[in-house]
Amino acid sequence: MAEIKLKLKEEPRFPLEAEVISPDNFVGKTAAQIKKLELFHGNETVKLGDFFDVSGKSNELNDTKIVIEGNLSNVKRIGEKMTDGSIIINGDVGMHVGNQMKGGKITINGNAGDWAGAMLKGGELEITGNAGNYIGAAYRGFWIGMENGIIKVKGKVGRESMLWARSSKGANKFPVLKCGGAEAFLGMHNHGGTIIVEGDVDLYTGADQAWGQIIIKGKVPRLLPSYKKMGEISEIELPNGEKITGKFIEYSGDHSVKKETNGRIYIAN
Amino acid sequence: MSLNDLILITGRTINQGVALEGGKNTRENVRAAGICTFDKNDFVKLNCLAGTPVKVTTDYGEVLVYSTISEEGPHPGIIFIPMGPWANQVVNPDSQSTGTPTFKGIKAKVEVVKNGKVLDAVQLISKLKEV
Amino acid sequence: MVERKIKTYYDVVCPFCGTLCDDLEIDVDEKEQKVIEVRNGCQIGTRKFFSSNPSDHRYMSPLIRENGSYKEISWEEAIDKSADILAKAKRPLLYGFASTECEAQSKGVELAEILGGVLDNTASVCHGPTLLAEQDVGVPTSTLGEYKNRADLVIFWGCNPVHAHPRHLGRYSDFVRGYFRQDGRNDRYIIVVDPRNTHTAQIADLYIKVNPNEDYELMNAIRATLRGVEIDQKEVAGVSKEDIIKLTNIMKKSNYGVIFFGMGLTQSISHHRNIDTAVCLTRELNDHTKFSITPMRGHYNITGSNTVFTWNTGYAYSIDFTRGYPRYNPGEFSAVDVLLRDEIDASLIVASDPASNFPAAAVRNMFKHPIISIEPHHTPTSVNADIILPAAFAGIETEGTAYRMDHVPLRLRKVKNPPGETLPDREILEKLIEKVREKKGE
Repeated sequence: MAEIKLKLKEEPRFPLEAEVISPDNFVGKTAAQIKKLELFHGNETVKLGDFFDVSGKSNELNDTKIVIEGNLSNVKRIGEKMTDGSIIINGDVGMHVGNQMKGGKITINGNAGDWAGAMLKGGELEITGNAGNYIGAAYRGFWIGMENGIIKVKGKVGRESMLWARSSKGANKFPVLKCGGAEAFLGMHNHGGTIIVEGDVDLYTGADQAWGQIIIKGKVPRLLPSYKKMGEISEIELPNGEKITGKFIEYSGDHSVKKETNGRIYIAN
Repeated sequence: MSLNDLILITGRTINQGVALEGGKNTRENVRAAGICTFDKNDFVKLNCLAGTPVKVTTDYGEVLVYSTISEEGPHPGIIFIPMGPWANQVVNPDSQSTGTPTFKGIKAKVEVVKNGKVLDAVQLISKLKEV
Repeated sequence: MVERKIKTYYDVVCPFCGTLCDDLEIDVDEKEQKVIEVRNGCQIGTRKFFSSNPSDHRYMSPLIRENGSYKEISWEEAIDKSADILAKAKRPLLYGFASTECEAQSKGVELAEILGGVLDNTASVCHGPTLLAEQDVGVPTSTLGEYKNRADLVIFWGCNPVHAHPRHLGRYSDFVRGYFRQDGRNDRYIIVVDPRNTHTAQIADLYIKVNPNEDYELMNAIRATLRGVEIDQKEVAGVSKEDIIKLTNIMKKSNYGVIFFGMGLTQSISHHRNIDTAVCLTRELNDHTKFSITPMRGHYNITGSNTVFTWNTGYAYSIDFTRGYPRYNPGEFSAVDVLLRDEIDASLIVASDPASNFPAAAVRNMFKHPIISIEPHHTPTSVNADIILPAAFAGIETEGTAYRMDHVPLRLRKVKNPPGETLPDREILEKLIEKVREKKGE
């Protein structure tokens, strides 16, 4: 496994836009070449080497691993559109990490900023800390957000997570979010996404859900009035065939969208 | 006397709008926007005269304003401060990633400060400059 | 006897709020170039016209701050020093652009692009959430004239026009005769939804007291009821199930309904999702009758600012040009957020007063860096600025176009000359653009 190590040597004064940091862009490059890649700092263009120490080398794309150290909470767009390989971030990271990713894996040993994994098309995003708002969400003006792939957050996710997620049975694409807890509007405008929350959620879960499943193992302050209790259930089948067992109460909704709906919320009993 | 578990709403009033067009650094502006309006029955619990300064405290800050009784009640448990520099000391600056701070619906508590000095807009905002 | 030459201007458009009344009459003393009388305006609009007269809080010449006090300087020097600050900045913020006319707003876009800065207007603290919702679910809307002539059900949700849009009720939504509403007030049913029994609620036919921050759930319950689904709860947001059903039926049975909404929805915790669900509700009501929804825009030309920014850049507000092209993302590029995170190093404030209207923490960070203020009179922002560029009042001292809350463009009038050395905003911005280009070597 070829490994490229990046260490942040100076915290940026303005947000640093670093979409060039991805296995796709590093493959076939030496450390010296990587240092010359362009990053954006305010309205100035800077070199990656101005902000990061670089060592190691790359290999085949699917074998390229980038390890980044430092407080990257003001570094944005790392891993944007990557298709393979992996990135490990040991620290907090800024907005838009892994946005529009198609494949590969990003692991963040820290917290992630807003819009982590936005518009995800595939691959895996794992966060050991908390995530900001709009994780796995659609960007402004888009009606289709996360289409495939899996996001796992050990901690809590912010508001409007999985906004406008869309699954496709025909194309075998099932976007999934697993998290430890969630803030308001989880699964807003959900069109087939699967969300599993190990802990508690906030208000308005499943708002405007057209179809999909939200499974909550912790506490819910109250559901929207547009959700209707159906009954008890002991086995939930996810669209990818996986089964979750346990005692749950099944709710249908969001009935403000449709009178009859395949949308569901399951709350552990 | 004090009141806890209140909800603070901030917003426009016609007086604040008129004062704003007349010059924001005037006494008129303090009387229009440096105030906190109480529900009639809530105000009784404060045990003071209308106009007495009160300190409004939220998770985001505190400010001294003149107390008044609402003409737009009843609204028990709700206090109203017109939009402006006084309100902005105590509102929630967080926009939840939408861009718009949460100017309405903030948990607050209130305490009577009989000899409190309510600052005018210029004095209040000057405190925000780093010394 | 003093000879006075008084000219009366008719059909003057009022440059205060989004109602953009177009029937004001202004008497001007032509010799003194002073506003003498204002007829038909509301208290606030009237006050604005009078505040344009010479006074000790009107700026007459460019000023620069030196050792804690302000010194008069020439326009040339003021523009040069301002352009210097802005051109050197690595992430300047250009903010405001609400209380000015469209050409100035267009110049603002040009300047932001040349500087590679962040451009934002006051929508980001006001009806920005409305625009966010419209981008997600659209907006079934119409014009004020249509409402005046047709609407028999008018709902004010989270807004208080008696205070914020004083003549709205008298010109378009309540106490006015319309083509199909010949009996005026008696031909309309007015509903107010608000946590407080506001002055607008006190003159409504039905007042619904909603718990603060719970409007979202109430609208959600109405939508479900509208779909023919009975909700399980006995009460939502402080409103009983019976009242929710009653309200839904009133809406269904109207001939033409309109929802006007304001900050009660955009500035409470659910922000744009309140509007999202209100728009969806309006759309769903069109399965039963005719229904529209319109935001009560605050400033007289904030709609113009959104319109002008959009036709220039594709985006309505919260735009970042640091990469050389416009990018849009409220929450990331919005003025309050970039200030809270201290992501800018200079600001140009045009036709707005963020020191008064932004949360204290954002103002604190704004004060850490140079501020250039384009402003007609003293405001808490301008008295803390490093350079003050004195502006003429658009709609009083200079012509221009403004867009009403329903997107109808109206032409602002000029009723007197700009006093002293004041210049229209668009000319000030043009001077800055030229000087910045020069400094950047273009």
